[in-house]
Amino acid sequence: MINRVPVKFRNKAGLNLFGILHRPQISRENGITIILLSPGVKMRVGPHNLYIKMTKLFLDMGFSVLRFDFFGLGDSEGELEEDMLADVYNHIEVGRYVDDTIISMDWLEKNYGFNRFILGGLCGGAITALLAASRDNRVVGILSLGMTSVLASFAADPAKYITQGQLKRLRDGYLRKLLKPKSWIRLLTLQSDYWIILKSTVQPLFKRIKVMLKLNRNEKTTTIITAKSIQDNSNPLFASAFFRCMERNIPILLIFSGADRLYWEFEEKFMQPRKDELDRIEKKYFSIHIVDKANHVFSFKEWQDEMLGVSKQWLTNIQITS
Amino acid sequence: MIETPFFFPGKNYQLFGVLHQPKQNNINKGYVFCHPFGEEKLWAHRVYVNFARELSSKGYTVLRFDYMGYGDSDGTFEKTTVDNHINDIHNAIQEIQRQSQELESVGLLGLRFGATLACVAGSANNSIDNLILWDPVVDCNRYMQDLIRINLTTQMAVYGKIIKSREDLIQTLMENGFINIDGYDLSGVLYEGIAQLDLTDSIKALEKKSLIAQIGRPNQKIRKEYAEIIENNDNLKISLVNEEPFWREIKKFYSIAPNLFSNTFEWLEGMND
Repeated sequence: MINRVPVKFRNKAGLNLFGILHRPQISRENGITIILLSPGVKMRVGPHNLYIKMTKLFLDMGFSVLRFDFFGLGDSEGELEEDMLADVYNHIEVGRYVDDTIISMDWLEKNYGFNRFILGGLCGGAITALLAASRDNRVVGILSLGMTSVLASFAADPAKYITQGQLKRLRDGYLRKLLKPKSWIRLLTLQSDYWIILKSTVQPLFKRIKVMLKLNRNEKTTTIITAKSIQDNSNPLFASAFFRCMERNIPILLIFSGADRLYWEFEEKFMQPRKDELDRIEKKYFSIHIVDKANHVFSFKEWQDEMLGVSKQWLTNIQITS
Repeated sequence: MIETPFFFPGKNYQLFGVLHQPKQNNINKGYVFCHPFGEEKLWAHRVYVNFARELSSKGYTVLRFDYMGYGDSDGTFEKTTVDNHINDIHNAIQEIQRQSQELESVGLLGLRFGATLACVAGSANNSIDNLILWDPVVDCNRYMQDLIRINLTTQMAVYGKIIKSREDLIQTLMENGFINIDGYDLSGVLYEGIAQLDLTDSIKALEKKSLIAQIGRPNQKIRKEYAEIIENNDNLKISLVNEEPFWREIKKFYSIAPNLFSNTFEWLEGMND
């Protein structure tokens, strides 16, 4: 490949993150950079070097590409505390690597002047892309492979990884919904994100009580009703991040594998319950493609070719709003 | 320690590596890490990284690198051959010596098929002092048959039946076609190159101090294939290590392999005495 350089940059915690930055021979005029976010615990090359194949396509199309390892994975510094893979995945699904993703954009902007990004990735990389896009205005597109809209386990508290600003926005949204009958139906039929509802609404109340009672700062005062207790494994952050991106007209391409449970989960646990909301959004910003029979990691060449072809078409036609 | 990612020359392509250099207590010994085959490389990656860091913290210099067609190195997997892998290891040995000229000895460390390659490359390279072989693959033909089973399993999962039998797949390879193993397009050339390797002979003839770490459950017995190898070879030490097969997708998240690390360090300390 042409013009690639190993790079290192520090994340918020001061840990070195390792990656490779690729520059095309001829850059596109729109100056958009693609950042490929590592899937699960696999590193910046992706399963069977899938990200290398994608990088080649993107370079040929004139995009600069950054692939890097999140902290605790690949070559990067740091260690993860979890013993079980499912728990690692769960922490990723609720935003563990959003900060690393935002830092990578900061670093590219500071060192190369890049300030418009398409975030791409498979599985954990895809959900990280969505969550980061909902928080950062520099993201102008999301290329998602095997987006996960559910949780692999219940090991992580999503509120640990979202900002106070996000919590406030969510809280305001929930308060507005108090007068909507449909919202009450969703709440009473177990379709709501109870975890986040409680965290965003109850936490400020507890904080006030805590101050009033002058409780010890280290004392744990909040009680979080976990998703586990209500038998719903939907990612409580997914819907709000998705609709936030839609509000900002960020084009999203969702490519799913036909033989992968992730599409069925997306369809049954997000699309169907949210049909009314989805009907109201502009379809030009949101497209789904299913690669028939493909497995989660697009093992076979024909599946990879189809995925790359659809990605190429989407990148060619993508309408970027300023 | 200092960790430097960089590209270095292979045969007629660039290889990617990360050099781990100790900041102090440098004992002037180095190791080149030879990674395992296909997706095993990715599952085991973090264990490699952390062992490199631990070695480096004890004063060793380490070079981890990707063979051609793997990771960030040039080339595509379809074009890789056993000869390429061996050449790449020789180039990596040269590179660690060039980068750290004070090194008095260089060893090779490998896991699974990476250990097999380390053994083949190490026995042919005079500058290699010792070998650390983590669960080496001895019967490579059987290993290839195990890999073909992955293709059959994928067919069953996707199509609900076997469309191409084992015999069909081998026929495809013999006709210079490719078969897919976990997303990697395995060529007939690579298949034959690997299947023809048999570690028994090269490791028996090995005159270098070597550790074989057999990885398995508690109270395991020495596998027959390893027992045959170590017979009458005083240079080889076998160590039975209780770890899960972290080179595959298992429920546990493996970033370090504590028993494997401590057994290996114990052997290294014995060498340094």
